Parts: sequence; C-alpha cells; structure tokens
Amino acid sequence: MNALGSHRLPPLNGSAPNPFDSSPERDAGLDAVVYLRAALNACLRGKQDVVEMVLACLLSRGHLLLEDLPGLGKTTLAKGLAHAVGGQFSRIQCTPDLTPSDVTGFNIFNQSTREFEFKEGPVFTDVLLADEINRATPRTQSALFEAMSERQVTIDRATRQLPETFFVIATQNPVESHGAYPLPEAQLDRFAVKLSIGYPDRQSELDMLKADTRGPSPLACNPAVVDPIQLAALQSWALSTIVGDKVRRYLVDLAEATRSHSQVLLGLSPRGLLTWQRMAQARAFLQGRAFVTPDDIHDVALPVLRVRLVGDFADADTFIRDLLTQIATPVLN
Amino acid sequence: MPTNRTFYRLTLLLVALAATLVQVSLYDRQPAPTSGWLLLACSAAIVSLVHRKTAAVSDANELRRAVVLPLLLIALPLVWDVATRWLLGIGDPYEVQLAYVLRNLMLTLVARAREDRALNYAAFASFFLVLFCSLWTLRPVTIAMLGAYALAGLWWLMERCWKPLNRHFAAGSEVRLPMRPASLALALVALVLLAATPLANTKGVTTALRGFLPSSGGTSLSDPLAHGGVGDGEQMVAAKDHASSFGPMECELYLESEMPSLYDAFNESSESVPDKKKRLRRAIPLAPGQSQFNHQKRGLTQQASREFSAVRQTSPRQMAVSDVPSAALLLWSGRTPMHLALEAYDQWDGRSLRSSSAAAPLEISLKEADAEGNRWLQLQEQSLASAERYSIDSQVRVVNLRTDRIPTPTAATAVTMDGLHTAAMFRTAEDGSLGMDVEHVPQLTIFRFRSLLRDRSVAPVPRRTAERALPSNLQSIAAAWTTDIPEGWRQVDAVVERLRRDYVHDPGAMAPDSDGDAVEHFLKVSRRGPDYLFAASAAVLMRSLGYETRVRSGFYVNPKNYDRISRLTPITAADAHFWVEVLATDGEWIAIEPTPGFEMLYAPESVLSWLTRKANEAYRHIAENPWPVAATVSLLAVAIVLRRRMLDTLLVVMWFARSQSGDLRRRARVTLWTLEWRAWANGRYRPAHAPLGRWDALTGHADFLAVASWAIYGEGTPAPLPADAAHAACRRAALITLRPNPS
Repeated sequence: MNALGSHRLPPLNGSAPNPFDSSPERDAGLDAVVYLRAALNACLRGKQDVVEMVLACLLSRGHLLLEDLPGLGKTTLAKGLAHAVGGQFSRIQCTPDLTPSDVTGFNIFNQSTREFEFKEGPVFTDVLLADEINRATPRTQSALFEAMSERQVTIDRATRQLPETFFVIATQNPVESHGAYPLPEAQLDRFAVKLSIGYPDRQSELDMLKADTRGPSPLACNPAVVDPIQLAALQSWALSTIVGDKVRRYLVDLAEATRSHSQVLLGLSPRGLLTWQRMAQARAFLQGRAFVTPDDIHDVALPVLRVRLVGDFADADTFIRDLLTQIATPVLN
Repeated sequence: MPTNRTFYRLTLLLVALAATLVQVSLYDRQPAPTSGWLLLACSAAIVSLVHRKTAAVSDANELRRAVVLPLLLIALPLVWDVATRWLLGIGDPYEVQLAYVLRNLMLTLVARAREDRALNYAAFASFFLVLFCSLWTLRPVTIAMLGAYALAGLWWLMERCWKPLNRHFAAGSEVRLPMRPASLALALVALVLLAATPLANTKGVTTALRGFLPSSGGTSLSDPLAHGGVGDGEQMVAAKDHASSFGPMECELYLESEMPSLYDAFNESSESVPDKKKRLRRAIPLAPGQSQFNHQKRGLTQQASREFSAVRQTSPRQMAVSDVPSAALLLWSGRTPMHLALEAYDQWDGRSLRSSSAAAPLEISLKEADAEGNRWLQLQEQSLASAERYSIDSQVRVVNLRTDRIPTPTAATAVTMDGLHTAAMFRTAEDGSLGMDVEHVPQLTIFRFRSLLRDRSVAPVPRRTAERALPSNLQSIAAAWTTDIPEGWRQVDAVVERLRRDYVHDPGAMAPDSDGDAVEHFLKVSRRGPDYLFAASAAVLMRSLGYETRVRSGFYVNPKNYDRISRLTPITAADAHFWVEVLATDGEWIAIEPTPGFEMLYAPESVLSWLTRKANEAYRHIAENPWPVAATVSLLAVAIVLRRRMLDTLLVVMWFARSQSGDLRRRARVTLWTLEWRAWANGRYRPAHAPLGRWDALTGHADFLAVASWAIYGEGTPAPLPADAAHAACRRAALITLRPNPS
C-alpha cells in the first residue's frame, strides 16, 4: 500500500475512465501525487494545509489567488509548482502600464518574410504567475481573465488555444492599496480559491534557515515530478470522483443558504457551485477516496467561498464557518 | 437559522409580545382562559416541532413547511372552536377566532426564519394583533405590554432600515448612528404612543373595527357567545341572565312574577307542622285614643327569620320539578360552590330553630370610591394579613326574591351596589344578617361582593365556651365522636366528617310529628334527613363540645347549575339550604358544611400546608410498607445512577442482534446508527451540521470512518477495506468505550 492508502484511481488513458480499475498507470499516477505533494512541501515548509489546497486547485483545473503579505512565499510556491509539474513557467509582474498585448502576445510584421508573425505572450505557458495582479489596469486584468476562463486568447480575430493544463497563480498584497485596481467581485469568481499562506511556525523557520546554508534551492536540483500529460490524466481522474445524490443536494442547500442570507449581497453563483464540487472531488481524490463526502465539502468551503461571497460581515471566514453550521449534514436520514 | 440574529430576535420578541397580549387582553372575557393558553401552547409546540424537524432542507420538507404547517395552524383554532362548542358548549366569538388564526399565521411566518421577508410579514401581523388587542381592553398590564411592544417595534424598524440604508453610503465613508438624538427621538415617540393609546381607545373593538372584522357585535349576526354591542344575541337583550347587562325591567316576565320569599322557598318543598301547644290569647279592649295602628307591621313572610320549625311535612301540592318552569330567584356570577346567607338561628329548643335578638350588629362603614368609581361598604375589619386570605369577587342579582335581606356570600368583607352613596341604606337584621332598609330589595338590583376566604390551616382555633345544658345522650354522642381528638378544628372536622360519612341526606325524610327532640331522633333513629337537621345536629353537637355555633339559612349556589353560555349560575327555590357557622377566636364566623352532597368553598391550601400534608402521607405510607418502598427506591436509584450504562448496554445488544444479517454496507449503517445513539446517551452526540469526519466520537477510528463514509456516500463503489477488516472495524466502533460528556 502506498502513501495514499487504499486508493482506487481511474486509469491514465481511455475515453471513459473507470475509476476503480487497477493498472500500472494508476500506481504511477498515485506515486506522482505523492511526489508532487512532497515537492511542494519541500519548497513551502510547514504549510501542508496550503499545499493540499493548492494541489486540489490544480487537479480541479481551477486557478489560484494568493493574498498575503510580501515575503511569505507566494512566488516561491508558484515557482515550485511550475517546476514540479514540469511545464513551462512564465511570470508577469503586473504594473499599471502593463498592456493586454503584454500578457496575451501580439502580431508583428516580419520584414524578411513580409508577413505578420504572432509573438506569444506569457499566457502561453503551463503555469503562469501574475504577481500583484491588482496593480494591472482593469483592461489588462480582463485580458488575463478571458485566458483563465476560456483557456484561449483572441488576438486580431484569431483565437489561439492555451495548454490544457494552463494554471494561473495570481498574487495580491492586501496592505498596499495606492495605485491598485481592486479586482471586481464578478472577476474574482474566475479564481477557484483564494488562499493566504501566513507565517510559518518556529520549527519550519529553523528548517528553512538551515536549508538555506546548504547551497542552491532544492527546486533547481530536483527534476520535475510529472509532465503535463500526466497532470492532465490526474485532473481527469480527480474530476471523475463520484458525487452521490445526498452530497449533491447538500451542496445545493449550502449554496441556497449563501443566497438567502440577509448579510450576503452576492451569493454563490452556479459557476461557483461547480467549482466547489470540483474542489471537493479533487480533495476526495487527494484523500484517496473514489467518492465525495460532506467532509470534503467542508474542507474546501473556506477557500472556495472566501473569494466569492460579498456581504456585510467583518470576517468572511467566521461567517462561512457559521453558515456551514446552519444546514444539517446528510448522514443516515 | 436566520441570517441577522438581532433582527430575528427582535421579530421573535414582537411576535411573543403580540401572542401573549392576545391571551392577556382576552383573559377577563373568556369563560375558560386556560383553553386559550392551551391553544397557544399547542400552536407554538407545533411550529417549534415542525420547524426543528425540517431544519434539514429538502424538497419534501420544504413543501411540508411551506404548505402543510400554515394550513395546519390556521385550521387549528377553527377546529378547536368547533370541538369545544360541540363537546363543552363553550367557544369564542368570531373576532377572537380571527385573532387566533392571525396569531397562528404569524407563528408560521416566524418559523420561516431563513427568509427576511417572512420575518417582515410576521412583524406586520404582530402589529395588527397588537392594534386589535389595544381595542379589546386596556388594563395596566396591557398598557405596559403595549409600551414594551412600541419600544421593541421601534428598535425593530431601526434594525430593519438602518442596515440597508447604510449600504447606500459611499464606500469608505464612516457612517454612525447618531445615538443621542436617536435615543431621544425614540423615547419621545414611545411616550407619545403611550399617551395616544388610551385616548384612541374610547370605543370597543366591536364598534371600532366594524367593517374590518367579522365582529359579532353590531352586525346582523346573532351569536350566543358574542361579547357586547347591539344585536348580540337573545341573552344580552333579555338582560335576565347577565348580572351586569342592562335590560327592560318592566317586561312581562317580572310583572307577572309573584316574588317568593325565602319563607315561600322552604314551604314550596315542605310546610311546617303547626305547633301543638295551644297559645293563649287574651283580648284587651283599648280606647280608640290608646290604640296604635301600626302601618309598618311586617307580614308573616318577613318574620321568617325569627323561627324555623324543624318538624315539617311534605307538601301535598308539590309537583315534579321537571313539570314546573322554575324561574331563578337570584343570579350568581362568581365562584361556585357558594353559600348565600340570608338568616341566622342561634337557638334550638328541640323542635325549632330560633333566632334571638341579641346578635351584635355589623360594623358597617363606607369606604372611599375605588378606581372604578365603586364605593364599597366595609362589613367587618379583617384580623388576618392579606397574605393569608384568598380574595374573590362575585356578583348577585336579585331577580325574583322578596326579601329585605341581602344574600351575602361566605366570608364577605365588603359589598357595593350601583348608586351607593350612604351606609344608611343598609341595616343589620335582628339576627345579625345584612339587610336593606326597605320593604324588599328592588328587583334586578346587583350587589357586588368582595370575599376574603381564609386558609383553614392558619385560621384561629375555635373558642371554648361554657357548655350549655344539653341532653346527656347528645353530649355522649359528641364525646364518643371526638375521643382522643385534640381540641380545635380537628374536633369540629371530626363531627362534620362523621355526619357526612354516616348519615344520609334525604330531603323527604321528615322528623316525626311527635314530642321529642328532632335532632336526637335524627342522630339515633332515622340517620337520614334534610339539610336543616344536619345543620341543627352539627350545631348542637359542637355546642355540647363547647364551641359557639349558629345555623344559617339561605341559598346554596350549586356548581351543577352553572350555565356555560351565560356564565352565570341561576339560583332557584330548590337551592334553599341550611348550614352551620362556628365562631372563631377573632370574632369571625367560619362557615362549615355538614350535609353530604354539598361543598364549602375554602381558600386554596397554602404550599406549606400542602407540603406538610403530603409529607405526612408519605411518611405514613413508608411506615406501613417499608420493604416494598425500600426495594423500589433502591431499584430507582440504581436505574438513575446507571442509566447511561444501561442504555449503552441495551444499544450494544441491539447492535449484536441487528448486525448479524445483511451485507457490509448495512452492517456499517447499523453500526453508525448504534454509535450515534450511544454517543447521544453519553452526551457526545454529533451536531446536526457536523460531517462524520468532524465528530470527535470517531477520532482514532479512521478505518470505520472510511467504511461508514463508503456505506453512506459511496454508492456503487467497492469497499475501501477487505471484508474481514471492514467487519472488524465495525465491531470495534460499535463496542467503543464512550466517556460521558461531563457537561
């Protein structure tokens, strides 16, 4: 038995994956998840919960918004993830003068061939880090959001597909608001989850200091854990995790509770509900289960709802925890 | 649960105030106020139960909550009313039923607390109900509740409107509620509202809400249960059944009546045998100037109180009661049973009860007018503290009785009547009874009484007086009945108890028409007789023991005659009755009922007295049955101490029985069911919102958690563990040791 326990995973290939078949590919995929988790934990010490959510977000084909103070490891996490999944990595440092074409790419006239050539922007990558996204203008943000939701960009009436495993990690700094363009609530819905990393504990900081004296970063030394093809297969496995009728009804009840609450101005959208289910599926997959339980719903509720609910409450996390206590969990009845 | 807790709680407060106000404002008008409170409790229980049961939202539950609950609650008061009208003959007027329906609708709306709109409607319904109740009645308690409602309502409005308003301000601008002006304005509005409420309430609900409500007054509907107003049914118009209603006094009913007196009332059933003793009459001629023509000479019927012969015979003219349409002599509004005294007898000569003229007159004094404008006539000073008294108010209406006496209830301390201005209108009769200084009390006169019943257990012990000369055989009877019984009430009670237990009340059993003591014949020979023989016997026996007694005659207000619809008790000639009074040390006559079948209204037993009596009974029971009691108590103690363990064991046994059959999925579900109940028994139940993984009872049982989750949510997936391991996990979980939650 491997580190994931008695996992039942779908095969890597095949048009209609059966999640309960056992195969060598499945074992390889399970190993890949273990290595992926270990690699991320190595680059972000003492933050297993954050790493689990990042992995769930990656496997649910969502995008990640990191909101935290400077220097807490946002960029390190993004780089580590890009390195671990073995794809291309791009980074945009968002500033007010950043234009949409700086993000998506542009056509340029080639004097030698006498034709327009398309120069791909940084979005044509596997993992994109949009650093301090709230410093880009709304116009530039919109260009990025189209790429995130559609996984495609349209330039000069030509639509170009992005890689299937396209994954955006956007960061924003909550304390500096000068010269910033706060992301509109409707646009925030494009992100699957919003996470805060927070300060590491004492032991993790000691380990970090010790590791820094040994030489170069482990990221540079270790090879990639999975390749984009394997990642796509893992995503397909995760999203085939079974969601029973009881759990689905429970999800809808919770969504209705967010909408009918008097303190909530903007409740959970259907897109948000889909994202919640996918995150729960990925969470169940990471836990080694082939079906989703209400525990998975609760586990991912905070990061999923935190980015979506807008209302008259001081602390969103407290409000969400309170909201979860208002709907009975389906168990035996 | 609602979204905004403050808003929800305020709405709950408004609803609770309105629901309570409905009951409070109807309290003094309802025949059975308990019924209304019971209905309110039922409705609230249904709301609470259904709301809690349907907390987990699903389509079926939503339907139940949205449709079935309102229908159920709205229909409840109507069904209730039909049932009580049919079964008990009581009910509520239309407007009260409508108020109940509206109140239940309000409760239903509160149950839908997740929707702010429902809470708004509930608050509006409560406002309408409060408006309704303020028009019903205006007593101090309702005014206080109205004030509370006004304050809570203002707060509710602030909570309702301030938050949405606040959102319209520019983001980042700091807006705060101006507390000081707001509180000042709030207090002002509350004061104005409070002042306006009594001013606005000059009309009753039946006229003020005419056209808005199906009021039973002022419409063409005629409802026997109506409260007031024009066209309110035959009883109000007739004015003969309600002590406080107005009616035509010179209707044929009263003009044709012959107004029997108490004397006639007794003679209607049996007439006295003329005394055999020849009276010597001697005529002395007087000169015309010396003779006095007495215009004020009282008729025979008015001299009834001076003597009552206990030797009587059945009247040959008597007809069956069912054949005679008996008109009420008096109408009683108040507690029953009650004794209305008219005459007193303090002498017994072996054949007749007589009254001496030596009775001390009542100390009648007129008090100042009370809040309702009534001037009360104080009959006697009270020696006991008010805490030891039980006050009751009552009314009697003289309908068809010719007497100058006032039918006075037991322990009456004050009396009043309309237009009472001077105490000189009243007088004390020769026997000490209360009377009016007129030929007879006018018809339809209403007397209001205030009685202070005393708790027998704290009343003073009857006074011992010098024993009177009595036949020795009667003295021996009294002594035999009270052997080994301490003096005081215990002896009095022993005599009364013996009479009530061993003797038969028989109105037709007359004393023999021969010389001899009627009481002695009753006590020793016949052992059955009418009430006056019981009263005379009790008085004679108690006197032989040294207690000061007297016999009272008057009427007995029989609870069986209570008319639920008119809420009155008619008193007819058949209710004429005799009883006894014992003089207490403080000079107060305490009424006692020696005749079986008649009850005396006493003040309710005090808590201490009740506790003492119950403790004595319990002690006696334990002393008589020591071993069964000890065994029962021991078993109970063991059951209480080990209740958790016993329930736990029972559940485990049930798990063994149920988990033997079925597949792994069923076994896992049975195990989880057992575990949930075992945890509940030990105070560690799983909160309804908590998933299994967040339940502390399953901490350390990851294997069972995996199996249980699979059994519930993993439909169509293979088991997470091999069969043996899964069964073992279930077994470990079912037999887990659960420590009781200390809290």
